[in-house]
Amino acid sequence: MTRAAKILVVVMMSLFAAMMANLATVAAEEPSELALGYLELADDPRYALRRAYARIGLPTYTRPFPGAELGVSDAAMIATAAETRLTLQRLTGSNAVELVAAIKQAREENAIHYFLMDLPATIVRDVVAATGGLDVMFLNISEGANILREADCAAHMVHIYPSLRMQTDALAQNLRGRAWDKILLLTGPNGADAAYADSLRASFKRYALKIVEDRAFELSNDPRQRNRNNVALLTATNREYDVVVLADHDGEFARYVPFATNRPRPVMGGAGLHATPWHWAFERFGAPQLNSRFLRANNGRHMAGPDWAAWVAIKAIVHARVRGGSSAFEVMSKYLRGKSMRIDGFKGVALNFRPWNNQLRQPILLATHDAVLMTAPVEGFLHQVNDLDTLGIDEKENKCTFP
Amino acid sequence: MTTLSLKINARPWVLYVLGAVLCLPSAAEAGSGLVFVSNEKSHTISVIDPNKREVVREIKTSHRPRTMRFNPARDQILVACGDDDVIDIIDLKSLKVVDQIPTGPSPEAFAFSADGKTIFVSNEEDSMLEVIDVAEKIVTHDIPTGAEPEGVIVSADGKTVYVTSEVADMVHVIDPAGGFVTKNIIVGTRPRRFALTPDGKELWVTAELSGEVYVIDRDTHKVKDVITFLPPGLRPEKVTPVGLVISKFGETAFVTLGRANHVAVVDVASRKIEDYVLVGRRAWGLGMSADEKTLYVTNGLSDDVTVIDTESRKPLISIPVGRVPYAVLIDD
Repeated sequence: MTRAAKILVVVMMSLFAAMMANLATVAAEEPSELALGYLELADDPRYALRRAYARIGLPTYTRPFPGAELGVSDAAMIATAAETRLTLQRLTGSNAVELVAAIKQAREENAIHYFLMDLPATIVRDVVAATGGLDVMFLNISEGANILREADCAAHMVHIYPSLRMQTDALAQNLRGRAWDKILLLTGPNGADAAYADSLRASFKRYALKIVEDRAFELSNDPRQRNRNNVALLTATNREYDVVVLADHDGEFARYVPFATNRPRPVMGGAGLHATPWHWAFERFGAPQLNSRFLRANNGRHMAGPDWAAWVAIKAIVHARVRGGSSAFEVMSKYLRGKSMRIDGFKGVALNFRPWNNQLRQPILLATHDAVLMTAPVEGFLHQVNDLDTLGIDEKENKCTFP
Repeated sequence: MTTLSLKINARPWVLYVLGAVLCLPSAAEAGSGLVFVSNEKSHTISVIDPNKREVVREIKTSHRPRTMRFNPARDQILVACGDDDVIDIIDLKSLKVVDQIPTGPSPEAFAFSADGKTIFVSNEEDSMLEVIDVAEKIVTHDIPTGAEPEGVIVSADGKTVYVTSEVADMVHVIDPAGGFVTKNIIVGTRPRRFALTPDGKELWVTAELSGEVYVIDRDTHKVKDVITFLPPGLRPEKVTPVGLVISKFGETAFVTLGRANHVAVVDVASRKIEDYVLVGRRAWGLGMSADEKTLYVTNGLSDDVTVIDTESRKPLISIPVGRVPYAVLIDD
């Protein structure tokens, strides 16, 4: 099974050697090694190339490994100052069983205890369930499914990537802030669309927004289904609405909706304004420098949410190692989840984890295709403990229990 | 030592601005008194008349002007323009850009060497401290730093250069003669700017995201004290210190607190926070007049400059300037 688990070792040693030589650091002692793992699925459906028609690409997602690589190179200097050498090992498996075997092997042979996790929700659940009790910690960098922060949560998994709920809450805050409180919700036929719509409904309820019509769309030209496939008809109603919100994960339908609605109303969600953990056009808090470092290292590819999360995950581990003062798993993993953490995620505030479900607190960006219009928490949304907890599952609604 | 204290008495605020390396005898001549404010997003420098307390002139610069310094002869202002990869040179008489020094990508902060012939420029895009010969306008060498180097300050004797790295959370101690980093000091999250105490014994550095000022002992290069800020009614995560200036006899430090929209007044000896002064949105850069009676604070998100009376510690007026004001430089 270790044969099946394709193991690509990416050791950044030469980079550190070069950096250390340049710096002529005073550290004379042998640095201790901090070995990190990176888990991914061989045929992850989330990264399948999707084309709508005539080779026109739909929004596709790219494996975020380059974000982790940038994280390692950015963290090299502080790791060196702390007499620590970082290595990153990429582990690819084609199912949960292979991945679990790879994790155990990496832990035993290379003393890897921290793993960045770029896996879909079902695989995450299986991997986490099979590794309880081991001295390992997973950092979820790409999966937003709310259930991983609720029923399927685990003490040894932290979420760098924001939950879907944090993202839908961000959209809802903006609507509430503008008093655009009457919503026409259109939901697609896929499972991902339904999950997104459920999260939206919970967010709309939290922020007292009213869904005046809750309709399903489908992608077809069938005249018998025109109530479900014709944008003008789908958005025609006698009831007043302020905004059309699209639960369309693929975005194939959504891209035809703006400017085609029955009434002149803005479109959000699958097209138009959307919530995202990161955006290439974010211009504050050092984001342009991070974006351009990523762009240069990746042939002009923009940094996306999972890339950012992978980069932050490396920062979080190094931060816990340097500030926590110990490499012992018990101490360091506790520090990582603790309230002393202050990770600079380039979103203007220091970030740390929610103790009730291990979700990283963070601002969410509200963006169009080429601009970040605002960040949530939207100004005026306050919380009795931490304003960032106005986004996502708060302690009172928590359904996650750690043993 | 005598020379040093004389220099300091002559122009105290330069401690902040130039790391006490640039105070030359011309200090005796009174300047125009004008207050210069660089505006990151309108690509201009607003010139404020301190008596009228209004903008009397706008100087067009290259794109994204940020840190400003006087040249040693004090007849020019150099301003780092991050989006055009140049340092513009402005003639103080004509108030026009008369020349440029090319730099590496995205220059943000810089400081002059003790002899005034060289500038040390932090390039946040390529993680380098560039050493540029001002007369020849050439890069003599590059010193690698952590990602996104920002604040730069030179010790009074010119033998040490300090640079913050925003991403690596550390202060690099650099030997400018040798051109290499001699030590790295780990400080708080996202370190930004420096000030040296007038006796040269302490280096103060702001840590934006951990809401702190680190006081570093210059003899041992160890962190001696950490000062945390919390204006009444605010939460720790809103406190993001950036700019700081220390008074001429080293009694008082003023620290801008970013999104907490206040300036903190700190007693340097005891580290005690004596006061918080309310200013505009996202207090960023600051500058103090030579008589130390007036403090000018740039508010990056309200596009204005708040004028503070240092005696009463009250804000007097906020003056609208360009878009996203960044730094303050006073010709007095």
